[in-house]
Amino acid sequence: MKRDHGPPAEGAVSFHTTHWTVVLRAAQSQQSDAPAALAELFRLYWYPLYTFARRCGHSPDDAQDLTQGFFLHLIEHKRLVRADPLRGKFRSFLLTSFKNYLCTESERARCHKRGGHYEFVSLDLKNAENRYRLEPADDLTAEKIFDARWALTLLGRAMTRLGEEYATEGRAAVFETLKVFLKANSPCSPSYEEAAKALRVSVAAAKSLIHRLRRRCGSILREEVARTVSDPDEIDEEIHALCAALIASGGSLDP
Amino acid sequence: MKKEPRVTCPTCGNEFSKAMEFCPVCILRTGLASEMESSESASEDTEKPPLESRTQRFEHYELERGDDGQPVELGRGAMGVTYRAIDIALGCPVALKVVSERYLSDESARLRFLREARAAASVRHPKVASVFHLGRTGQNYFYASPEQFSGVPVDIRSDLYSLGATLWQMLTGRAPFRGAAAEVMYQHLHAPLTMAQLGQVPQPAVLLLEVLLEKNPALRFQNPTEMLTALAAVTSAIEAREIRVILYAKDDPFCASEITGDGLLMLGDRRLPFAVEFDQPCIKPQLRRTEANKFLEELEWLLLREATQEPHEGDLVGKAKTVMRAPAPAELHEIFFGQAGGALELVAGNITGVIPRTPSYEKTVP
Repeated sequence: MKRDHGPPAEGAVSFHTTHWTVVLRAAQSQQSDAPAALAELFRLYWYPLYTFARRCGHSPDDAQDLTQGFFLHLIEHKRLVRADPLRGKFRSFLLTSFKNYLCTESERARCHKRGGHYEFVSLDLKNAENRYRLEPADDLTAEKIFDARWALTLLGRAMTRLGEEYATEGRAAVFETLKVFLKANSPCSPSYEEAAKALRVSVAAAKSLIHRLRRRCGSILREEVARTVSDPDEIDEEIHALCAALIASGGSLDP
Repeated sequence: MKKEPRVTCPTCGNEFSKAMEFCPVCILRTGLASEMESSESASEDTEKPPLESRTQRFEHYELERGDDGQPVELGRGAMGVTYRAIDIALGCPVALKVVSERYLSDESARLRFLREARAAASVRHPKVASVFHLGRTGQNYFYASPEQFSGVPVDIRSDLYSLGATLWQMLTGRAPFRGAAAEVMYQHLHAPLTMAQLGQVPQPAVLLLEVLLEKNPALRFQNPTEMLTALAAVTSAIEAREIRVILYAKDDPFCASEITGDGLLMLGDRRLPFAVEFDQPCIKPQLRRTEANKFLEELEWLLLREATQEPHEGDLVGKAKTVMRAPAPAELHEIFFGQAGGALELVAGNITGVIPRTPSYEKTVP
């Protein structure tokens, strides 16, 4: 596999556009860039899989191997070719495929699958265990943690993009000052007057900037969710599902 | 690194880690279409009042009107507005919190509201409003249980019936009984369910609906826990039905890496070894064995028919519901006896497709 995407450094400026259905179509039409396209999506969402493997009782080393090996499994085998591009979300596809993979891997010597003619996708595995140790130790199931972690991963991705957009336009200060208004109003939020003063604009202009920031935030979130579902009609449903997953986690996951 | 404490979002009541700048649920919700389409201007932080002025009563609560004739607002938040009202049954003043209609179809918002209400209901203090009642209006006769029409006392089993009616609508797009109010009421009380409406709904879900929509509450699940227990079995059963396998002739050189089972089929004096690959996730070994046996039985039957040249009327796919393409007898023969080989795709024991040995097949089957 070509390594032309660079490592998935935290906060790296990148504008990914790969969509789940594009990956599927590429795979099903035997295009050679299907693995690279999948790698791009996988790089964003591998950590929830790692937490799932750990939650299922695998050691840190095994969880790393399994996460990495699963990616190879996806591109080397024909799972993508057979996946139905008209049905299903990337999140569900990954989790169900990963469960199946964990099951078959436990019956087979792992080293058989290593190597081949693909390089491993570059994942920030060394920090994975440090992050995992902070995952909740209560009675949340592996699936619940996976879904909530997925929601936070997607959210983090969207917020990073939003900040990057403002920075690219030379308006990082606007973003930093106004991002507190992205959450609904609360007693401890600064007032519009304070925000206007900090940005040296009128209160009306500050309100307008906040309005635009909120709308852009919503648009980016929809775009990111859209990449992981196979039909635009599923976006709202997926957002509701992710909200429900976060609520079910009871705030026990750190960012 | 240590774990951060949790904080409660003052807007939506969700708990989240203090290490986060924002409530993740509130931020995620900004991506909802309804939020995007909202004409809310930047100067308005609270939702528009969910209440139209013509609405005066919610169940047995009636809104009080101020001197200006408008409902008296006690508070306002992102989710809705709290009004001063009178419980007309008891004649006492109450605070009535009305959730904005934009959240009515939002399950996560409903859960948050429910949690808030339950938390508040656990508090009894002179300076804290007590929660006496939690209800929703507009639930209508399409989803009401027979006992609600017959005037007998209702309990949680009535809600289970309503849940069944809602599930029916979700699966079919239509309520179980339709017509004018009186007709629907009569049907809830006396008419059998029209099972034909369920069409392609998997059988385990059909059974679940039948139990939920029993006219006699004693025959329904007696509580939600019972239903949840049954639900686990239902989802397992549906999962089992959806397992898709690829069956190869055992000597197919391309089936090596994914074999999770194999078998031997006796056909007259011919012995046909098989390899079975499970394409869909199925983590229960017991289920795998059961399914594999079903597949082999089905295939044995099909091949026997083929071998004895019985007329097959083009229905070699058996009772499959999702038929991709019925394999022709010649194709079956080629796969298991011919030089080219190939594989069969089966879902729940039914042949649903043929994967011929082609260059792309060799590429995709490692």
